Amino acid sequence: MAEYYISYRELEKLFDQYIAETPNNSQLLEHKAEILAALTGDYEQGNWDSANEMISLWENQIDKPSQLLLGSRYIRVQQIMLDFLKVSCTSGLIDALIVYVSQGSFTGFTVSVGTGIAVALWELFTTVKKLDDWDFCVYMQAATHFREYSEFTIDELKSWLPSVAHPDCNMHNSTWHCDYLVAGNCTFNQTPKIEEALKSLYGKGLLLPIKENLKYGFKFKK
Amino acid sequence: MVETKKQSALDSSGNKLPIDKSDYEEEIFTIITDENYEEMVSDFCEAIFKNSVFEASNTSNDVIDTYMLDVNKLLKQLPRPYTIVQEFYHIDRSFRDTYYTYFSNQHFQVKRYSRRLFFFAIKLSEKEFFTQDEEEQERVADHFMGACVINPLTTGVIGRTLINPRYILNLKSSVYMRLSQFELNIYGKKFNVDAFPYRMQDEETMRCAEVSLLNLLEYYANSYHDYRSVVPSEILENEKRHSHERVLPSRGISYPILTKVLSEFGFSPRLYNLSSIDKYSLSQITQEDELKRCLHYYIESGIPVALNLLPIGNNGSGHSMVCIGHGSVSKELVKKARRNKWISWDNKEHCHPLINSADFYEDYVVVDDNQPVYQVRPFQHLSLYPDMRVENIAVPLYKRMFLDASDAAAIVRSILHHKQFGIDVWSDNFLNEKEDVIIRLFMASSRSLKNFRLNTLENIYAKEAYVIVPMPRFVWVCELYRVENYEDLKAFGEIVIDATSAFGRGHSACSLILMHYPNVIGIRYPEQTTPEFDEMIELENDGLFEGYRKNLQKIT
Repeated sequence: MAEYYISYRELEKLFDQYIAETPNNSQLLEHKAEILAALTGDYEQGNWDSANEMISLWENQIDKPSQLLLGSRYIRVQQIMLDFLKVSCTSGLIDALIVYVSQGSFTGFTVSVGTGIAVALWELFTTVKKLDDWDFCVYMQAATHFREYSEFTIDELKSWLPSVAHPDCNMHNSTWHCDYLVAGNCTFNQTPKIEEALKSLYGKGLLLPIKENLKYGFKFKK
Repeated sequence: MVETKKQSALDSSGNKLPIDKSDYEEEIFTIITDENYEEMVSDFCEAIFKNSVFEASNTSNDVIDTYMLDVNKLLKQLPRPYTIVQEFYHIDRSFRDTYYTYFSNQHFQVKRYSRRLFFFAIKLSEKEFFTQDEEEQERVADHFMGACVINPLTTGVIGRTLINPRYILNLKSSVYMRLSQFELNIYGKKFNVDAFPYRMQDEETMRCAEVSLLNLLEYYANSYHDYRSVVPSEILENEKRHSHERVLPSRGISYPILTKVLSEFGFSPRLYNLSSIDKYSLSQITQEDELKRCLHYYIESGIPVALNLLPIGNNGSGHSMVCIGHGSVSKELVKKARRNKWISWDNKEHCHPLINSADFYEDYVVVDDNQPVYQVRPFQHLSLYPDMRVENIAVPLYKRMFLDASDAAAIVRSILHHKQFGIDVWSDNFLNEKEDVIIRLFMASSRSLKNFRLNTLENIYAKEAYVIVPMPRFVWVCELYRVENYEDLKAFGEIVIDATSAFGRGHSACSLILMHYPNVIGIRYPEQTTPEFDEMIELENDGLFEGYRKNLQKIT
């Protein structure tokens, strides 16, 4: 995990790269301005106009790249959140959220689909960035497998964590210090922390327990 | 009158007058020991209350205990045995000022005189105190712990208090504080104490913000010739000029007005507001983390700052206090800081990641009128009030400190990853590949920095470079450490940047005055307008050097 200061231009290039790595990326291409507006704005006060303005700025920037508007501005990003952004793109999580908002399932207010997407994504990223280590780890694992498992069981989740058989962890890189990853072996799934993390993610409105088949599904805010 | 009784007790040493039923009699010298402190402190406080604060003979002990609780706590906190030397008729500059501005206009009588208590960390007799023997005088002076003014008020009874924190803090680990040496006089004798001013608010003329201002201004006036000492009425007068309603009785000050008042007294203050700090969706660093970094840079620079705390959600009244130091490194936070290291985006595969030492500290030393003098508390809970967080930081900067902390941090970050002047270019032979580097950012006076480096650097050519290079009065310094050397504060390099240019012009390498990497020092003279060094000095055997320690005093 590390922190970078990158320009908006560099963020856009990086996002283009993530789009290129995503199968069936038409939604991401269509809503690129909204997604970038979600990554670069602050809509905490429910400021829909601000989201609208940021989308317009990004639409202009995408059409006619300019140093004056957004090109030379800098943003602070962390590797772990960039990894999450990439996973959300490639696993189809952002696609699912776009569909959800497009169907009018987001907020009680009358806002355009574009604004809804920007604000819903901003809410998702703002909630995820505040997650504690283990909550983040579980959510990241679940998001990585979203395309195949939009609903999953605890056992499935445990099977995604690294083990001797498959030591790769999608959380781990050379700069990530993890208490549970010792010599490539993750001991996280042997602790009660995993269930605590699932409960915590439910409490934070990110996951939804599905009682009939003991599965968890992703929850998007209404 | 009780006043007369007290006077007669002082005049005729053989005829001590009892106060109420207790055997305690007021005297100039009072010795507090482990054996007598419970009873003695209680009697002492009761006598002060009845003779100097509130002359009602029928006040119950419970009521007295409540009013004198803070004095009682202070007296019990001091290391025993110790001696209190009392000055019964003391004219306290700030209380006398508020007396004539406010209390003298009141219908019910308020006394004019304060009392002052001097504390010595030994058993002291009258003979020893007034001795002419120089050695004995020195012994007495060496054991001077400080002094405390007792005002004749039921609220705000503790007035100007100057106590050396070494005697009062019971610490598990070291703290680092900014103090000033104050000279105090009693009965024809002079004593010095390293302290930071503390006083309680009287809730009528001074609230927490005014008290913070008065303490800060007194510290600066005592430490630097650029500032003069002020009395409460001058603060109120300035406050009135910028406020839209009356200022007496005081209802507190908002921080924008507080910084305006600071500027009226010769400062060029900066006001940092929590909600004005940028938020980023893709970073876990919060606005609070960033505000704390900013606070830490100033505290590490030895610049006491005023903190404004508000309840989370901004419902309810706020509070104000002064922050003067920080605690020791928290291992848990070091771990967290290592995960938030800065990496150059352009050179992320090869650069040396930077770990910000400002993230290592959880505890800060505050002077808060709601708490006993010198409190070491975590940043998240600086106040005794629950759910309060730091919302504003007012930094009283010197008029020519143009470059503020956040801009200095941005410049340093950019220089350290610069393709011409960065660590990656100049320290590659010294550091391992992609080795983490800890940075320590602070401001220092160039005079003091040069003196410190002259005394602590080993290489003669390195000393010469530091001494010769022209520097403005204040500079920002960023020391560089290997992870294993930070605890001992042994740096392997540093960069010095100009604090007298603003961010726009000084962005990146144009601010550099000196860079010191292993075996090389580069210096730039004031005429050099392009980012190039006028002299590059190669050093042989350039070892690790001492981290700068003159901004704060270590208290163990």
